[in-house]
Amino acid sequence: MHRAFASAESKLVDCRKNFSFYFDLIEKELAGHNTNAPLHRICTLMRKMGVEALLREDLTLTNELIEERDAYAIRNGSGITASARAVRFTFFRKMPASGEWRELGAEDIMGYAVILTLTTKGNIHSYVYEAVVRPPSLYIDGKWRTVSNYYVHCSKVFEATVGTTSSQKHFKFPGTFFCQQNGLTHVCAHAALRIALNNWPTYVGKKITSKIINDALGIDHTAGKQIPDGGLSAPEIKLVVQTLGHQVFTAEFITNPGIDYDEFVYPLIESSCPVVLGIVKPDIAHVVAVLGHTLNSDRWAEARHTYGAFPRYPYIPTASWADHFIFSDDNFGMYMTLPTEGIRNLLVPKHNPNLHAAIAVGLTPLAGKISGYLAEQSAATIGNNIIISTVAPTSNRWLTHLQIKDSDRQFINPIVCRTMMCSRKQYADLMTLAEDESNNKLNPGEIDLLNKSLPDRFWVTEISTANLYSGNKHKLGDIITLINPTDDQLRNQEYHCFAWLTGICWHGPGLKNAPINWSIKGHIPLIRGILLQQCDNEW
Amino acid sequence: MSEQTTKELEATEESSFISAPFGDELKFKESEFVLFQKLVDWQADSEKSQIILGKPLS
Repeated sequence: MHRAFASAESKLVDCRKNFSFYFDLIEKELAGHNTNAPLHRICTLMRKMGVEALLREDLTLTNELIEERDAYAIRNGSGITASARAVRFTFFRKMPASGEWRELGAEDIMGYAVILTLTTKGNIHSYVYEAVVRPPSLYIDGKWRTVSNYYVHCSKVFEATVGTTSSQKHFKFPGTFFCQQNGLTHVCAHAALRIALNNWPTYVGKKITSKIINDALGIDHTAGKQIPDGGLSAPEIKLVVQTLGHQVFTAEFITNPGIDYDEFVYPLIESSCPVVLGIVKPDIAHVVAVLGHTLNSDRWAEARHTYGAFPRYPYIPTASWADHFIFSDDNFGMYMTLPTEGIRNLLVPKHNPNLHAAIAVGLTPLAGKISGYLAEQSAATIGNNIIISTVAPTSNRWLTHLQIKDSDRQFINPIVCRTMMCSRKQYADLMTLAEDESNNKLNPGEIDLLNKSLPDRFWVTEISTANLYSGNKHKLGDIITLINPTDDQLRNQEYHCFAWLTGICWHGPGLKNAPINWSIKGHIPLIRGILLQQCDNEW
Repeated sequence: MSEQTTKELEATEESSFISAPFGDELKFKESEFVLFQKLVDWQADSEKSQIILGKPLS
């Protein structure tokens, strides 16, 4: 917690072998009936990441913590006052021989958690008010190395303070923000939205607190102005996000169980846009914040496509290789992984006794009629129609490869589609540097054509094959889709403005200009939404 | 890129295609577009969802 100071000087505690996180920390520090699972999870993450030292500090209440306390008092009844105690735990990867925290640097901090205990007459609530922890990683050969194939697309560099106002140290480190509901002045939807917003790289405003959310919704905890129905609706979440100058894409899976929720969520996550995901089963409902995904490049995705039901899906979405979503669940903690197939709707939702996805609200800098999911559906059609209708010389080996069919007239190498939001500058910069396996690059005229054809921000669907995608992390083409076409553009199917595939390019609204040659004839790297050094242990 | 540039490219390099479809041939068929339009409508309706996130469905 940046610029929150200890009320007195503290000493580092050695938390290696003889320290029990459960008995020496969790059981002692948490009061009341709130779940201790989130704090336990943080401690377990620290243990897995090799923690050696922790610093326990009683904090002087900041304005933010005073607001939290006062809201709690109001919620407990008119005229009631509350007391608050805040304790911060900061975790480090090494224990200096001197036991002196001032010797520790930015590479040594692993994360922190602030435990807030609020008390009124007859009530006590103790919970993780906020925490920031590095993405799961190990410190090897002088560097933090992230767990293999683990992509936290929604994370930031955070600042942490330790010490008092008279003697302090500030640390900057990459991580994700976490918070826990208290069930009174904020519920799981608040926690999920705070986690989503505070970890969203696009959002650069001040830290989002529950008070900011409640203020936007007119909730002040007095009688008649409390959190209605124990949760937040999608329009309310949209209102909060719009108040901050951003937009949402929403999908309600209950009304359309034919949509696989993971195919809606994946393009947003790949675009570093967090998703607030509502999950339900009869009598249970919860909200979590999706921040990333894991990837199993050996997954049976291609075979599943081939053995699948008739008619065959026209393409393989790269969501098929994302075996888990990385998410934070305020009831259980940070960096949980959700098997993507675990909450799919296999039955008509209202009859589904299993936990399933009900609604997803993705945060985005630009919203419109076409979500990433829809862009991918239409781009797959364009891609397949290009492959079906183009006559190419044998020298265009990759297009010929895509055109091979089996005895049932099905493509042997079905296209793989990967969709994400991109800006014109980001895309043009990447394409300027791109070079295929034969060292072909785009010429200045082609880069100029790109710059003239593309809007400021758009969906790009990368076209690849299963082996190029999983092995090389490369692609053979891109199809660009407008995010917010006009009604006329939508009606006339003119929401694609650029496409290229293995040496051929289409451009103009509706791709109506004559196809032309394109210098890149082979495969080039996929667009990476995350710094590669954060996933250098990639398989 | 002008038409002239296009011709230059084709004149100086081996072409990557013998014939290729124009935009109209790449679009959804009418029946496919009806389904796509339904998805667009569903997405717009989702924005108004009355599901309360965090509250069991009634």
